[in-house]
Amino acid sequence: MKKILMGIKKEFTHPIRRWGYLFILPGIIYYSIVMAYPIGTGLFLSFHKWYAFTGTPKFTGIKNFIELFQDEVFWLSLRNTIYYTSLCVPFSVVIPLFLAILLSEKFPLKNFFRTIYFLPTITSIVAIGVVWAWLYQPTFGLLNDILKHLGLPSQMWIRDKRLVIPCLAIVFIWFRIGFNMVLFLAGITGIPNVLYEAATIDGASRTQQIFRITLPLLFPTTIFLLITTTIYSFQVFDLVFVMTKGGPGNASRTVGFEIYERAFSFFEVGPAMAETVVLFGILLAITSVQLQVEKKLRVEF
Amino acid sequence: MYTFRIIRDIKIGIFLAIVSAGALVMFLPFFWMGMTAFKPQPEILTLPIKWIPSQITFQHFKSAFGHVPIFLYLFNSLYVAGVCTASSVFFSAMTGYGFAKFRSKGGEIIFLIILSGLMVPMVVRIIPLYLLCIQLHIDDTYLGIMLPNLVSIYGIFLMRQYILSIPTGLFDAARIDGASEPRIFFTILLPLIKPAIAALAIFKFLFTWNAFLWPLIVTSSLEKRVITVGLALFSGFYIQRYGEMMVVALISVLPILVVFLTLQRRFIKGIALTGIKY
Repeated sequence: MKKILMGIKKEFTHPIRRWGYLFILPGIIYYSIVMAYPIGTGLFLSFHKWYAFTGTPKFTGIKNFIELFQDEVFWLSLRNTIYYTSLCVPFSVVIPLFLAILLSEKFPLKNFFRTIYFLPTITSIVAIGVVWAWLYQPTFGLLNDILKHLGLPSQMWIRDKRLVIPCLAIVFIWFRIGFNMVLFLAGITGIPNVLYEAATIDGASRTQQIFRITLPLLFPTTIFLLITTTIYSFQVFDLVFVMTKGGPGNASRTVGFEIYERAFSFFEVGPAMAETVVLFGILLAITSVQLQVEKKLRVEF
Repeated sequence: MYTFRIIRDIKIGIFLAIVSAGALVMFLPFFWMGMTAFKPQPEILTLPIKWIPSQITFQHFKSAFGHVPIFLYLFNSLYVAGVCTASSVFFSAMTGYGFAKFRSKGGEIIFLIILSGLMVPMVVRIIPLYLLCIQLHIDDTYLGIMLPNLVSIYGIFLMRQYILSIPTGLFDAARIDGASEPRIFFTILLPLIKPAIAALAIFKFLFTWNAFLWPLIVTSSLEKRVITVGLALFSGFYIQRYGEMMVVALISVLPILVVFLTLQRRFIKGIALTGIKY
């Protein structure tokens, strides 16, 4: 024990080394205020009932969680969110992968396409939601007009409770394609050319090279994008708030939106925190499953 | 030989068609937004739908600017994004430097703890953060809006990795020459990490400018609204006024769009470098 204290004292009195601790201080302070404290408080509050941010929280143990799991609307939100995420993730990872492979070689107008595909990513999700809601407008929106010209029946889109989640998913995929594509491109350029040259000497065709070299080596990037896209899309709030507010009925109610409403429209802070804890738990579970899969399938050259 | 050429060209042709179709889809919403913003009102809600306005009008601009304090919102966004970017860059560089060049066992552990914060989704922290802001009386203030973005954990990570690749000998030489630590930080380190600073700055500015959930929650008065919140709340009140809505959307997107189109290469390289949308 004394050795540790002496060690620490040596660190802090050393004229140069002590600067190291000074330099990382902002990071530590920031983390404590903006990460550690909220997480701790959040967990703490999930075991309390607190109404409208006034008065004092009342300890209620796991009552919030029990009520949550008995709530029909919660399970509906969860189903909606899972449906949404399961639509978003595959398309927003596979399509960019395909695009990145295409655009990484000698492809005409490569930079132009890269820019165009990246445009949605730099746009604020609010603007995107607003514009797409206008595109989805049943009477005057562009999408139904396109359908009309193709001879297809027009749709109610986000006002149709069967279509609303796929519609939202389409917006997310449109938004995310460029970003994931850029990351895949970065991954592809990181693959050393010698591998391809060796393969060509061995007589491998271009397609074979893609499947045997590019794809396996892109595996870490793919997993990374799978995980981050899943986490990001699972929390969806912005699109729901701007485009549908959970409607029609509760058809597009997601967990993220639910938490917001509970806390800021109904002022039920305790239950909102309980739902947040559950959401966090789900995300942790999904992430660790994906990481386990990654461990099993890892490939190295 | 000749046939191979043709096959290859056909292949490229097919792929080109696919990618172009995709590009059209990518661009379509922007096109529709732009067209609607400049379309005369009668042509917006008309059947059959007019894709291109017969004449360009600025009536929606006048109307939108009249109903909504757009310049105020833009200023708020700029102010918040600017300060957060500068602050993030500075403190991330400092913290990253500390982790990279002053190694210690305790330091490694602290770094990992801080890094784990990247995994925590925003939703989990947002309500307690709001409560904290209320307790500190910084809710509905600029500081409140900036708070979660003053230092970037990803920035710390990025900086540390980048600074690790700088030979320590450089700093030791400066120390031998009698330079003080602060002096070393400002005159030696900062100039050397310019690419990382550029990447982080672009990235952080973009993220803060487009942020929605946190500014929505922490501001209650109109004066402090940022453009994203302004747009969202506007579209809630003026539901059928698509012309004005598209104008506000266009304006909220324009600054970043302009910056992006001029700095394309740097931008995309920076995002690829940083790798996470945080």
